[in-house]
Amino acid sequence: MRIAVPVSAPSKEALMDEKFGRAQWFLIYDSKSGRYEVVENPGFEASSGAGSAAVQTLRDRSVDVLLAGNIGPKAKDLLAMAGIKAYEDYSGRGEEVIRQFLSAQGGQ
Amino acid sequence: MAVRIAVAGGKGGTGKTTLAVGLARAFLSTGEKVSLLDLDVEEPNSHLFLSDLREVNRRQVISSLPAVITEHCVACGRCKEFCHFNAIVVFDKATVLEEFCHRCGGCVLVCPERAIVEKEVVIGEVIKAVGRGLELVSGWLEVGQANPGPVIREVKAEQVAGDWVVLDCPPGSGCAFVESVEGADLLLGVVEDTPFGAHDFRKVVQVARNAGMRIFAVINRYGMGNGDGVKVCEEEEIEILAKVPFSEAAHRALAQGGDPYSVSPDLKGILDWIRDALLERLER
Repeated sequence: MRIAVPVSAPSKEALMDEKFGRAQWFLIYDSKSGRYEVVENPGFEASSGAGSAAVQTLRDRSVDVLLAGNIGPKAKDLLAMAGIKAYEDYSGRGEEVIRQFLSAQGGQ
Repeated sequence: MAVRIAVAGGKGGTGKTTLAVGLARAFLSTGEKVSLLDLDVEEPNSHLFLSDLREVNRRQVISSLPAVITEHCVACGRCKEFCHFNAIVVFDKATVLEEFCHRCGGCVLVCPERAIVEKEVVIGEVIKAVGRGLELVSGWLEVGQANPGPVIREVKAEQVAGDWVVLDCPPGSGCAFVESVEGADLLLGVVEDTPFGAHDFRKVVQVARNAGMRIFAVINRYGMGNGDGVKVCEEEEIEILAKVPFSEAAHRALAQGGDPYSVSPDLKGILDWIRDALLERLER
């Protein structure tokens, strides 16, 4: 499983970015390898369609789950279309958010 | 050559439509031929001040949107990479997100599989009405359509008879505004004498200056605000043709839908004054 969190700096300790589509980076955790990676979000400074660029990026990186603070209605539709499960109302540091999700799932 | 006057202001509700309709009537009263174009296609309401006009023509505005033939799409992603507006996503196949699409047609051209074609959709209407010597052309963007540009262009492309063409422009200083003022001979700014009016007018001035347009201003609701509207005109060295004081009586009459040129002798006098000032500045 690959889990993404929008973050405000390119590190796993960085705080989650409230805005999904306009976050500058995504922290991605691969539960199989246990590795973290950070990718830039091209939607960060897009004049329009920030959400669609963000969803495309996650999909291109084979992300299965998105954990975010707040996701707009258009982005939600696109995430569903891309087959990415999205959960809202998360906050905290990127790594913590992922741990929190995994322990709630009962796995690691 | 007809003179095209763009009435704009930035902020909503500064009195653009009131001035545009009033000025059109002021020109008419001296026997000039006048056409009024309502380019505020999301909320066209010049006609509400001119309820006795008779509709003479109505036509649809067609725009084309890209459509994906999914059987032909190989998900190569060229269209998505080309699209500056992020209006295409490619998951298993390309999908066009219509609300972001600016109809540039680029995706159709770059698709190596010819899997994207143009499909036509009705996005609005252009309605022409005449009466009292005045010709009014209004653009109507359909509710749910995101891009007013093509409707504005169609209104401006309409053949009009006026020697004076007054353009009632949309608020703001973005795409719809730019599309509206393009090709105008001068910009007549309606500036509310408040921090809000001044702030938004400054943006309009930046755009108009970039386009090399001649700018004049009319201060509206003079005496009510904090004087920022007058100040911004002084700073930008824009000539103020008139300062229209706030009048509750005139405001009430306009709120009933009364024609700006007829509701009060004071307002009529100011509109005539603005018309004469423009005639003089343009050496007509």
